[in-house]
This record gives sequence, structure tokens and C-alpha cells, in this order.
Amino acid sequence: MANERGANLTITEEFAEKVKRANFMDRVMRVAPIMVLAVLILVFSCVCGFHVFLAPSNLVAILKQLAIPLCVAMGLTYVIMIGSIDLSINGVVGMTGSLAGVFVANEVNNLNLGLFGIALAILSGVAVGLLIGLVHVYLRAPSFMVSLSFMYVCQGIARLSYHSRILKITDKTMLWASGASFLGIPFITWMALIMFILCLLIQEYTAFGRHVYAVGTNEAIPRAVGVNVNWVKVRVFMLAGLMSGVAGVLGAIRLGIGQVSIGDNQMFPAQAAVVIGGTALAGGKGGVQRTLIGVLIMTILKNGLLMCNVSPYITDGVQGLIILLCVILTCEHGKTVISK
Amino acid sequence: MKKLAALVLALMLVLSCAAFAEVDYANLKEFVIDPAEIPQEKLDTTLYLAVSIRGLENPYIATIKDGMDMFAEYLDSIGQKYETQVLDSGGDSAKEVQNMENFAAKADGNAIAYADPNENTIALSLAEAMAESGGYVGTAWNKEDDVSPMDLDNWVIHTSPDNTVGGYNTAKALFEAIGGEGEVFCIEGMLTNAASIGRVAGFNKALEEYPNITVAVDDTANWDTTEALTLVETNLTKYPDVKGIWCANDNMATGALQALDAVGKKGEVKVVGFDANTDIVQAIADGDATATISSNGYLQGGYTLAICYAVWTGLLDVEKIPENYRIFATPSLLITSENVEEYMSAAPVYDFSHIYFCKDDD
Amino acid sequence: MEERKPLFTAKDITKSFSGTQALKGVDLEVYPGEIVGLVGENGAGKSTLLKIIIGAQPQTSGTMTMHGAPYAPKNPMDGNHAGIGMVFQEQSLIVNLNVAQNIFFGHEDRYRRHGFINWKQMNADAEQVLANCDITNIPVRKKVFDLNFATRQMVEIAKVVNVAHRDDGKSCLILLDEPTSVLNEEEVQTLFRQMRKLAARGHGVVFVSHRLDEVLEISDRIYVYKDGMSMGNMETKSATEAILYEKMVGRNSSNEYYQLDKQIAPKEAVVLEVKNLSKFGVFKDISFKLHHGEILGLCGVVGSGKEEICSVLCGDESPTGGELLLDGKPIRLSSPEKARKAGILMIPKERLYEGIVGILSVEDNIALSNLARLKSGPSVSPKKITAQATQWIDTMNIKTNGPKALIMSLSGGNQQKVVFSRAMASGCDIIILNHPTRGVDVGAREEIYTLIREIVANGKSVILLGDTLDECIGMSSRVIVLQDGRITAEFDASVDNKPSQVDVVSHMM
Repeated sequence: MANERGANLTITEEFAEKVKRANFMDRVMRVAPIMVLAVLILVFSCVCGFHVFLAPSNLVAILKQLAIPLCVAMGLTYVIMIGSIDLSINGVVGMTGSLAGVFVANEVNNLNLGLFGIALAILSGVAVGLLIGLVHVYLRAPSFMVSLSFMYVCQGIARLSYHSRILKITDKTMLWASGASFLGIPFITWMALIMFILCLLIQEYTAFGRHVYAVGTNEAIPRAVGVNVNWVKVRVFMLAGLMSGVAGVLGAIRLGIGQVSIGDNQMFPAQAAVVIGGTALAGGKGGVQRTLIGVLIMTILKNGLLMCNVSPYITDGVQGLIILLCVILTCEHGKTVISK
Repeated sequence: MKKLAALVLALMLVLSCAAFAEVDYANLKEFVIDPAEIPQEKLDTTLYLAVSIRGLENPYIATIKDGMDMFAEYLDSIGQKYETQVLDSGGDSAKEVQNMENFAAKADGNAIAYADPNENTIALSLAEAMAESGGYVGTAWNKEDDVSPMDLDNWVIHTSPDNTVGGYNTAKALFEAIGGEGEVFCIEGMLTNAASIGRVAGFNKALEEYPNITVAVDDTANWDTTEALTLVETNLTKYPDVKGIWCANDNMATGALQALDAVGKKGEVKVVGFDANTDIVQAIADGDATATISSNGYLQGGYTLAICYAVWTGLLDVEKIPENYRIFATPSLLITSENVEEYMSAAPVYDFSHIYFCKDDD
Repeated sequence: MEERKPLFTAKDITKSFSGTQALKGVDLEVYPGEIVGLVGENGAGKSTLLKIIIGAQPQTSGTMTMHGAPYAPKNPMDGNHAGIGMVFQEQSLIVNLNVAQNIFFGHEDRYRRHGFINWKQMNADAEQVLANCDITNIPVRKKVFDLNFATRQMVEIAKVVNVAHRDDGKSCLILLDEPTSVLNEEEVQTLFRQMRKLAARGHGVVFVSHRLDEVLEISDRIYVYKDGMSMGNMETKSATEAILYEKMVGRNSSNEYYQLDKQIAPKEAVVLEVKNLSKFGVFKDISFKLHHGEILGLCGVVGSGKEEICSVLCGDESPTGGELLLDGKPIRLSSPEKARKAGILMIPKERLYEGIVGILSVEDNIALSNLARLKSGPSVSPKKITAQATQWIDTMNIKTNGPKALIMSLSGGNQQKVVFSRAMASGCDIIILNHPTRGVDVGAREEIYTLIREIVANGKSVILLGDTLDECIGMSSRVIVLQDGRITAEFDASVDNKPSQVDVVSHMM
């Protein structure tokens, strides 16, 4: 048999080669988003002029515009890493943004709960995440339907909470936060960065973070070693709710008003940022550090199109096409990669 | 003889009543609802009232609903049985038409509604949805030019504050406030929306009169606060010398003010809006904003229902109402620092029996 | 030899999956310090037995002991606690985690401090675990994704040894299911050294492989399984490949069973020629000719590449090299639809998932592949569909309440007949049969053999992937044997020249 074994070597070698190629492609894909980002910055700088696009004031504007999508997208990253999807974002952000306005000092009611009110608003986001997770996991309902339903529930709660009156925030801390900056970086961006570090720590330095990857890769593996897969999933949705909650509060700070429209149009940019960043929709692969790049791409794209005075009649179309291009460039496509 | 006198007297009374009830359709402005003339069976029928709108979260739109509630109080006072309903389309045209169909079907002819068509194209569809079961509807703001309430008996009126005049007035107020020269931003609403198009037309008309004003940015923020904030925030870095920001509604003006506040330019850069949201009115009082327009949602919602009510009860014959009483402009008010105190102190009180109070005379 | 107590025993284990018996009462004994090889053909029940031992599946009946005590695991964790660890055929590593995180996956709690994991401590321990297995040169901080396959295998083994490790120092049982299938010779030797070390420490090792040479090299004792039964065990010293082959294969079935009287000699004409067909990393340089009226059997173990060759032939997957000649003309099959139009149709293995549309009726299922021909005007004619179905129900002797009956209400054998009807109705000249008798009872099996004979008699050609070696040899007029993605032998299998199963199997393993 020995001679045949020798002849067979090639297939085994081919297989090893295949794995190697898959790994190489993966490494290329890891840097692709950064290249896309660099190209975007370069193109916009050339079109608008370096001194305009890279002016400190515009960089600050970009940092501000980054904060809320970053929070939302990081929560979504976790959900996508376990192979699920969260479509409740618009609703949860709108709800927590509205509630933040309702709970702190404002021109409509006299609750004035201060920081406690802000915490309460964020917690409401966590609670929605918990409910989505529980329904999804224990009633075995698909996450996209459950979360989509909760989007509407949350929007309803948000509208109810301030009865369509303009909820102008008068809370001193909130007003201070909207204008404050440290080392030139706006307060809300600091908040988002702190959340980023928190998410990164959870991802890299907790058992939960590791289990998230495992659940997304193949649920059977963590189940076999006694990991409570359902509870991991529920916690992922709670984390997503937390991040949406923080995003809502940051939105209220940014606008100075609590209203449901804070959550409008948050879903798609976040989703695009996660995918462009390189987190696989199938789960098990990616991370918030990649999403940061994706969010930068999305934010700079939007900012750049505004800066270049692209006609409003074609901005949406142009933005859609560029996102499509990014997805094609940065996502793994084609046949499944063999590397279990 | 006494009997005869009584008979004559009674006859005269009846005749005079009849004479009094004769409606002068050429001069409907003077028409007043007399509750005594409303048949009792109508008063005992449950009348369904609705306002069909997009998104109660918009404060202007919320005042339309308030207008319905104020009219409902009037119905209480004359003993009319009714139920009210808000048809919220959430900005979805198909949903708005469907809402109207469901509402009309439920009411089975005993329905009156105020509708703010989401787009020009659905105004007729909304009226037709109502016509199917025989209720009455009045539309506001948006309709196609080639359709008219005259086409359909159930489509009683179409009203609109004059957007072009309003846009012209706010633009003029803005240009005056910045001394007639400098860079301005023009922030439009939804690009396909008739209200936005009209207001921007007014802005452009005013612009012709001020040759030293240049438009640095002309973009849309889709009526949305956050989008306007991002838009102004970004463009402020490119055009730090901007003098004024013209917004097609107050929601966007709120976003513009917030962006200015963040860079310490609130009050310095002049902002005008449209719709008289409470926060912008307050900002005018505080000197942070320059002007806005009150389209008066209370008046639009309440009086549209009042006119439809007069038709439903039979007090008015819709076929006899002349065209200028079926398509007309409602009064709007330019609010500036000069009249803002007065505007804020005067809570609207309306006498809904004078149904054509809402028709602008100009 | 001194009296030894077995580390692990399994007695009379049976297992049935929805009617079919995968295990019909097998025994296994493993002594401390022993490497036991399990060999057998596809479907002999080796993998099923290992899954029962680790606790991934429950047995239907039978008992097990570990360290002399009764052992009845409910899940793999129970197995781990008892000191049993298993390296699955598909590795159970999370590729996006690093080596240390994989080794301690699910056991992170002891490294938790203030909610965060002490990676430093874990990495140190992971290095210790690897060192305990004498594995060096694997950086514990490296993501598994960046390791080659052999290294991953080592990590997997270290992980398994660690989870099965018992604090009381009692020995463990390590199960290895086909661990060598993707390793090269050098890597295999590293793995063997590892296994010997484990055995030297008194652990028991069970090794499943379809490579007899490897089993003979590494095992102390060998069990041979066949059709879910143990065919006995022997010391490796006294075993040779020939003896193992003999035990592995059964007797050839009678000529009547495979209806050899109906076997016809294929014509000279070549309908399909495969030239140097390759799919990178799966199979290589496959060449053969399929003649008119021929049944060509493809033999090989799971992973030999035979299934993938069929996938390429029916247009499901595209090859990376070589060419196909259909009636002498080169052809590219980029989709199953194109293959069907060219006249090649596959009857899939997973009938329930790929072969039938459960919610449709018998007639609709038959009509699926030739709807275009049942048109009357622009729309499909229900009458023609029913007429076609009635005809096939009659020809194929399908037991059903009528053409309108739901296919789900039919028995497995009759469902298979419906699938066959569809294939014949499609008008394709080349039919690939992928395990056509899997999950079918004996009576229906005979009818299917009749059908296959009829298909060929009607001038069609068949490529057959048999459910058993016996079936493949018995039905085919020529047999091609594959091992590790290459053709290793070709046998003529005309009526009076059938090769023995031992001859064939010796080229498979």
C-alpha cells in the first residue's frame, strides 16, 4: 500500500493548499475595508480639496456623526456574529432617545430624574433586547420577525411617551454634553469610544465574548461542552439593546430634543457598516474592531457626499452604489470556505 | 278670528324660517350652522370623524389632531353623537389610502375626514376611497393640478396655506435680518413634496430681489431634524461665513439651530423655518431664530371637518357650493420677533359654526 | 499474560434510526495502555458506536462500563467526566478563537476574575496542556484559523485529552474518528507518536480509519465490523490485510438476487467520456468511459471523491480541470439544468431532502422534470400530468391510492420508485444513481434492481454508487475503484467474471 499512499499525497497536499489559499484570502479581506476607507478619504480630499475635507472642523463633524452609528453597529455586530439579525434598531433608538428626553428635565413634564433618568432610558433598551432574545430563543421565533415587531412596539412607546409635543431638553448635564469636548473630541464621541472599548473588552476578554464566536460558528460545539447557548443569545440581544439605548441617549444629547425620529434611518447604515467591516452574515467571524472601520467608511461617505455638494437628487443613488461596491469588495462571496 | 290670526302668525313664522334657511351660496363666508336646523336623526347617528395624517410625532401635525378635538367639543355642545379617529400613515402613501378605505367602510356613509395626502398623487384616491361608502372628505396641502373637488361630490374641499407666499415671506425676513447680503443655506424638504416645492419657489422668488445674497448650499434634509443637523454641521465646516439658513420646515430649523449651538453660532447665524413649532416660536422669542410661518393646524383640521359636517347634515348642498369655496387658501401667519409675544399669549379659540372663517380673504 | 481489567467495555450495543438498524449488537473492550483499531466498510457502524460511547447519541439497547463501573452518558459532558474524550471527524475547534481559548473552551470559569478572563493564566495552562502531550511549537495565542490542518489536529487531541483528564489520575479513553484522512505521511507519523505516548501513560485509545495499513501499523488489537455487527477481534500481530479484508466483506449474494440473468453486455458506443477530470483538493485525474447500456459502478469509502465526481457530472459543482465528452463532443455542465438538457440526471441520495417535494402529489413529483413537454398551449395540462403518472404507477408498480395521493403518504420504497419514474420520464440517457437502495426494505430493493435492469434494457446508461460493495459489484458490468480522490483499480464485472469483494476492497483501503 505504501506506493499508493505516496501517490495519494497530492490530494492531501492539494487540500492543505486549499486551506492555505482560504487563509490568504481571509487575510486580504481583513485589510480590504481599510483600503476602501483610505481610497474614500483620498477621493473626497481630492474632490473637495484637502484643506476643506480634512479641516479640523470637518474632522470634528465626522467624529460627531460617527458616535451614534458606531454604538448601534457594535450592538448589531454581536447579533450578526451569532448568526442572527436585529431589526429593532430604529425603534429602540427612537424609544430610548424619547424616553431620555421624558425622564430628564424638559419643557413638557416635571419628572427631572437627571442621570438616573438617563440610566432608566438605557435600561429600557436593555429590557427590549431581553424580550427579543427570550422570544427568539425560547419561543423559537426567527429573530428578524421578532425584532422587526419590536421595532414597531418601541416606536409606539416612543410616540406615546411625549404625546407629540416637542420635548426640548433643559437638563443641564445633557445640554453641557452636547457642546462639551475633550482633547478636541466631542463628548458624544468619547462616549461612543468608551462603549467601543467596553465592547472590545467583552469580545476579547470574557468567556461570553468567546462563546459568541462559537455559537456563530457551530452551535453544536459549545452545546457539547455545556455552554448555555440560549443564554448566550439572550445576552447578545441585551447587549444590542444596551448599545441602541446608549445611541438613543447620545441622539437626544445631539439633538437637544427627545423624539422618535432620532431612530429613523439607523438600521441600514449600521447593517452596511457591519458587513463592510467584514463581519460575516453567517456568523462566527468578525468583531467590533472591524465594525469601527465599517462605520468610518459609512460616515465619511455620507459626510463626503455632502461636502462635495453632490446634487440632492442623486445623493441617495450614489450612496447606494458606493455601498454596493464596498460590499462587493469587502465581503467574502462565492463558495463556502473549507476551514472548520 | 283669533284662530285665524294664530294660523297666519304660524304660517308667517314657518315662511320666515324657510326664508332664513335659504343659503346664499354666493356668499358662504356669512354662513352659520344653526343647530336647530339639524335633523334630530342626524344628531342621533354616530358620526365618525378622522384626520388622516403622517406621523403624530410631528408637532405641526399634532395640532391638526388638536383641531379635530376642538371641533369635537363643538359637536358635544350641539348634541351630535360622534367618534374620533386618527389615521396615521407613517409617511406611507399606500397605507394612507388603505386607512381611508377601512375607515369609510366602517362608518358606512356617516363619516367626515380631514386628509393630508402624503403625496400629490393620492389626493384623488383618498377622496374616491371615501366616496365609495358615501362619507365626506376635505384635503389639504397636496393634490395633482388636474384633479379637483369639483370632480367628486364627496370631496368637499381642498385647502392649502399658500406655500409660495409663506416661503417668500420667511426668505424675505431672513434676507432682511442679515442685511441683504452674504451666504445662505437653503434646506429643502422632501424633493417631490408639493409643500416643499412651493416653499422653495417662494425662497427663489425672494432671492431674485436680493442680488447680493448667494446660496452656498441647496440640499434636502427630508423634513428630518437629525438629517438637517448633520447637513448643517457638515456644511458649516466648509462655509464658516454663512449668514443665514432658510429651512422649509421647523423640524429642520431645530436641527440647524442645534448645529449652530454646538459651534457657538446660535443667534449669530439667522435661521428661519415654517410651521410654527413650539420650540422655534420660543427660539424667536429668545432671539435665536428669525421667523417662522404658522399654517395653523388647529384651524385646518377643525374647519375642514366643520365644512364637511355642514354637508353631511344637509345644511349645505355640496353641488351648489361654488368653486372658490371648494378650493381656497387658508390664512397663514408670519411670526417674527415683532409679533411672537402676541402669538404665544393668544391661545386659539374658534367658533366652528362660522364654517368659512378659515377661508383666506386675500 | 497477566490478568488485566478492561478500561472500557461495551456489550451488545444496538442502535436503530427510524426503522433501519445501524448497530445490531456490537461489543468493544479496551484495556489500559492499548490502542484499538476499528475497521469496516462504509455503514459498518464504527462512527455510530463512537458517538454512543461519547454520549452524543443514545444507544437503543446494550450496556457500557468505564473503570469497571456502569457508564450511561446523557451527553458528551458526561463522557468527559467519566474520562472519555473524542476527536470528531469534523474538527470541533472554533477557528476564530486562539489555541488556548479552544483548549479551555467551555471551561473558562476557573480563569474568571471580576468578570474578565485571565488570559495570561489560561495561556500558561494551555502551554502546560500541550506540554503534557509533548506537543511543542504551537503558539497558544495563535488563532486556529492560521494553523494548518495537522496542527489543528494536534490541538484537538490536546484539548480532548485535557477535558477527559481526571483529577484522580485514572486513565482516560480517547476516541479518534478518521483522524488521518487529511494528513500527509509525516503528519500521520506525528499523530501516531502522539497516540503511542498516550497509550504509554496507560490511557486507552480507539482509532477508526479506513486505511488498513495505518491500522495495522498503530493498533495493538483490531476489531472488524460489518453491517452493524462485530466480526470478531484479533491481535495485530496475527492480522494481515488479507485477513481483515476477508472479515470485512460478506459473502457474494446469489446471482438471482441481482438478476444477473437480465444483465446485458454494454454496446461499443461510448456515451460519456471523462478525461483527466479534477477538482482541486477533492479528486484528481479521473478518466473513464461510459458505454451505451452499461452500469458502471463507482466504489470507494466516504471521502474517496466518488460523490463529488457525481456532483460534477450532474452539473452541481464545477471541476477545476479535465474535460467531459458527451457522444464524443466536449461539453460544459455549468448547472443541473444544463446537465439535464444534455441528458444527464442524478437521483440523489438524500431522497427526502433533495429527491422529492413532500407537499406535492405523486403525479406532480413525476412531472417535475419534464413539465415543458406536458404543456397544452402556454399552460401545463393537468390531464397530461395525470395520464403520465397513471402510466408510471402502472409500469413501476407503485403502491399508492392514485396519482393525486401525497407523496409523503407513500413508503420509502415507493417514494424511491416515484423518483425513478421521474428520471425515466425526463428522457435523459445517462442516469446517475446515488445510493438508490438506501433506507429501503428488502422487497422494494428487489424491485429497484429490476428497475435498474429495465432502465439499461431501454438503452440508457447508468453510473451507480452502490449502498454496499456487494450491490455495486452485483449490479454493475464494470467497477471503478477510488481511493483518496484517485482511481486505483478498474474491474470487469460481466456476468461470469465478477470480481470478489476482497479484490475490490483492497483497492479502496
